[in-house]
Amino acid sequence: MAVSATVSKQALREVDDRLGGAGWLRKTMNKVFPDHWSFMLGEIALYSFIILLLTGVFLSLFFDASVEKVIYHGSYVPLRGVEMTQAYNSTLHITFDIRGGLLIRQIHHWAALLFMSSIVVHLCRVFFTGAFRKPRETNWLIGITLLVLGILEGFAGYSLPDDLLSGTGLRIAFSIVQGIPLVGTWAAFLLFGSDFPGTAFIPRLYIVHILLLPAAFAALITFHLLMIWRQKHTDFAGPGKTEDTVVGSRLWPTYALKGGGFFFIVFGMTALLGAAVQINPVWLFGPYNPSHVSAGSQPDWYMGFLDGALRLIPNWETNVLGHTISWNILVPSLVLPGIIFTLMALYPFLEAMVTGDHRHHNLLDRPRNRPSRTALGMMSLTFYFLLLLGSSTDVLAVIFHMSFNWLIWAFRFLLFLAPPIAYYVTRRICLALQRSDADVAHHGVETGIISRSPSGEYTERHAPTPTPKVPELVAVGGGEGGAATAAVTRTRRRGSRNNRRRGGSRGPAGSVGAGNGSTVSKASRAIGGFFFDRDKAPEQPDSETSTTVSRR
Amino acid sequence: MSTSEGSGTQTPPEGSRPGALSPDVGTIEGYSTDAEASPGGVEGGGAVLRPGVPIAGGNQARSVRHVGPPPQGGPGGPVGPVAGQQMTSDNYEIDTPQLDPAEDRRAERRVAFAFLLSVVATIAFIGAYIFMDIHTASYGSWLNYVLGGTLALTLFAFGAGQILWAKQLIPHEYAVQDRHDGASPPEERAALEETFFKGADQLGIARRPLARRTLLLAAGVFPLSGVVLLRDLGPAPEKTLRTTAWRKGNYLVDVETKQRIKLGDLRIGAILTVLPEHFDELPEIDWATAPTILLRVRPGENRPLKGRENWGVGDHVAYSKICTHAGCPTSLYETQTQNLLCPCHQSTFKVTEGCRVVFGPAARGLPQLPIAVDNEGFFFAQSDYLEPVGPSFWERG
Repeated sequence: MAVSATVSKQALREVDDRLGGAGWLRKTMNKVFPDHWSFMLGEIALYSFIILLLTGVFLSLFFDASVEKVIYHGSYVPLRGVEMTQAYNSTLHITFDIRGGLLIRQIHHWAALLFMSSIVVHLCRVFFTGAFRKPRETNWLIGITLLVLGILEGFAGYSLPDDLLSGTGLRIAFSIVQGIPLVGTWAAFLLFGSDFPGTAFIPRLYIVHILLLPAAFAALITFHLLMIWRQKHTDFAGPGKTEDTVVGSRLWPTYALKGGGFFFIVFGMTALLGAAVQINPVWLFGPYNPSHVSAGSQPDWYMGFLDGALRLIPNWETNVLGHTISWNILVPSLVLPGIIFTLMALYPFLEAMVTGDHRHHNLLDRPRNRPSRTALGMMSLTFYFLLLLGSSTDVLAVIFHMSFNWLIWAFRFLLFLAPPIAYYVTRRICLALQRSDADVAHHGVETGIISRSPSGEYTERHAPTPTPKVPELVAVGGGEGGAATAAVTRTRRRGSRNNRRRGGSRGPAGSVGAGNGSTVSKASRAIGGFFFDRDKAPEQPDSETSTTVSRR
Repeated sequence: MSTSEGSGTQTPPEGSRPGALSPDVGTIEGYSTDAEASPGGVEGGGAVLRPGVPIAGGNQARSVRHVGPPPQGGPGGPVGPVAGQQMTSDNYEIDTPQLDPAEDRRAERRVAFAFLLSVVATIAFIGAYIFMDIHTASYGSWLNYVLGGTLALTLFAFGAGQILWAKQLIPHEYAVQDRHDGASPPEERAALEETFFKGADQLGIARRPLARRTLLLAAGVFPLSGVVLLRDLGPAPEKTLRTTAWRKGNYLVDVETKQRIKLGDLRIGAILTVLPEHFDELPEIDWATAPTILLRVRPGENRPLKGRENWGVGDHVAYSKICTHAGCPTSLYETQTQNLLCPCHQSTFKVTEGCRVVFGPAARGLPQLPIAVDNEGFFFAQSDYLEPVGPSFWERG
């Protein structure tokens, strides 16, 4: 113990002698991170990326991204003697002749799915809690970029083995590029190096998959983390939490140890999946052959919404002056994702424009307290999941013994009918939850105890709202007081918001924001009145923290 | 660090449970490690928190003392960034309850058990790697389970050990740190603007329109060389999209057996994927658009399109297999309805009516290959497809 302490001390001194970073390092170690399960979603994405790098390096040692034709002589008997590309051959080699190769391949694929899933769920967390608001819009944009690049990277990855399924996917990709007006054919031929399938694309895709996109990921993730570091993590409101502080545990030692441990848990999870759950069994699909296809051809889940859109689109195509515009390709695969991702990227700015809220926010929203945003989010998710389900219409038709024609028509209508319903229902649920919160705050919780008064009246007894568990630093010498303050704060906030919706007086802060008079600002206010609750100081109406508000 | 702030440790009385914080703690002590390490002499004087005042409401209520330049905003005001290069402040407070010694020992044993389990699993992994033979059929399928299972156990146990350590051995801490976010002090912003505009002034970007405009011009033009370099990524398109490998007189061969097909080989309702004879001697790129479906529909039900009356042979017709939507092979044939279905996006084509679209996203019917039979009854192509095969493109017309 003493020896290692001496060594550590010596090491710290050696580092400081050269870099002079003792002060910075100490502050880094003392950096405080808030604790909430939902803050680990982004961590899962980060750890999946590291797992992808590790397993990807292993796979790249054996994979050969060449489309040179070879005859298979490996140990998988059913394919012996079959002509295939070297890419497919080396994938089979990894699977059947490298010990642990199948495991690493499956871990790699599972980690990719986990990477995309955790990004999407993390994005939902950030959206529904309003973590994207000022000052974190830049990080939101980086996140959206990572999402889009992740979809491309995943597609590039599962296209490399050159099996029947991935080759079909590449053919669709070629058709999509070819369908772009004006430049489509040129773009497709330049990308693929020739007409489909050609010999150039898989080697090119390999470079994109293992060099260009991972480098972009590494840079963007680094920037994403630096921004979190600089701006500090958001936190949910609660006793002891304010806009000006971070409450949690420090990097050294608690958070570092928890984070490091969590990495291994995530890695272990992907290893378990790679061991027990088969994924992308390319040896069953066979090598790619342009005249073959398998039924139930579906991409990985994160491409699913695009595939669903490609299925649900009506067969529109126009011919103008000898030129063909295939809307049935263009709309689902380029216009729609273009609109979706642009709107996502712009959302923080649109919301700030509509609500006129340009202040810093470090405390997160409770989704129910932002009914309009929550409803918009649910509306978008409904649209998204319908597209995702739409990519399985053939499978659904088989499972449920339904006509897929009817199924597709149902999806086409639902795509426009369901999202507004989701908006309305979510909004009503949020408002009802707010009212129930207000009710509890005003009258306390129901006890189930009915008592009869001397006059014969029956009433249910209500107990005071249970005191939230308050960290003692807040409540030193009188936990009740601190807790009560916090609870009252929340009550007051909700009450005032409800008043406002009913047309009550808008607080003095309500007039801050968009300038009066101009048509644009009027329109913006009108839209805002419909979509958003216009309250300017929702977080800190109580006196202790009003200093925070006035500072901004 | 002259700009650092002090920090405080709060020590509750003995006997409090791990993870639970005692409510009646009042004194704050200096965080001794930091105080020693800091040459600036961080002071950690005792302080008593007042009841009911959130710790971060203002500096007065904080248990910490700021060393160095006074915080901006005065008492009760915010603590702004103290110096420009200061990225974070370590202005935190912690609460460290004592662990029950017996529970502490048990927790340490749990952590050690997890780490040892990880080691054992690693040994098992290595053993499986060495002793299990990937090529023995019965072992080959098991190898993935065993390697994956032991690897997962290694990782789970190692991770669990660390998390147990963090949760059960490290004293629970409740740390509060100032955020210091938001804008820099006004004077610093002013200084930045001054520096920027002074430089811009020296640059003369506003005064020298000629230089400025030519700069923008050059900046817009120079990337063109990079764009031009991309030209040789591939050949010019056009021709190859309009033609396939089919030529007049090519015999139709089964894609699997590579044998010619004779009239009568197909039963009614049968479907066969065919390619031009000797296709396997061509590069794949030349026959990727050539896959064709030869079908025999129910007798007398085929209603050929105008001008295509002699494109089929009896009830035999041949259509391109490449879907006009996104290029998937349309492989599924519903014998009852005599519809061809694309498995990718479910475009449906009516075979008996010239493969017109009856459902789905495809906009055009499948192109028809004119076929005939020779004297011996073998199918051959009368010509190439007379329209481009596969998905649409801009120049298709």
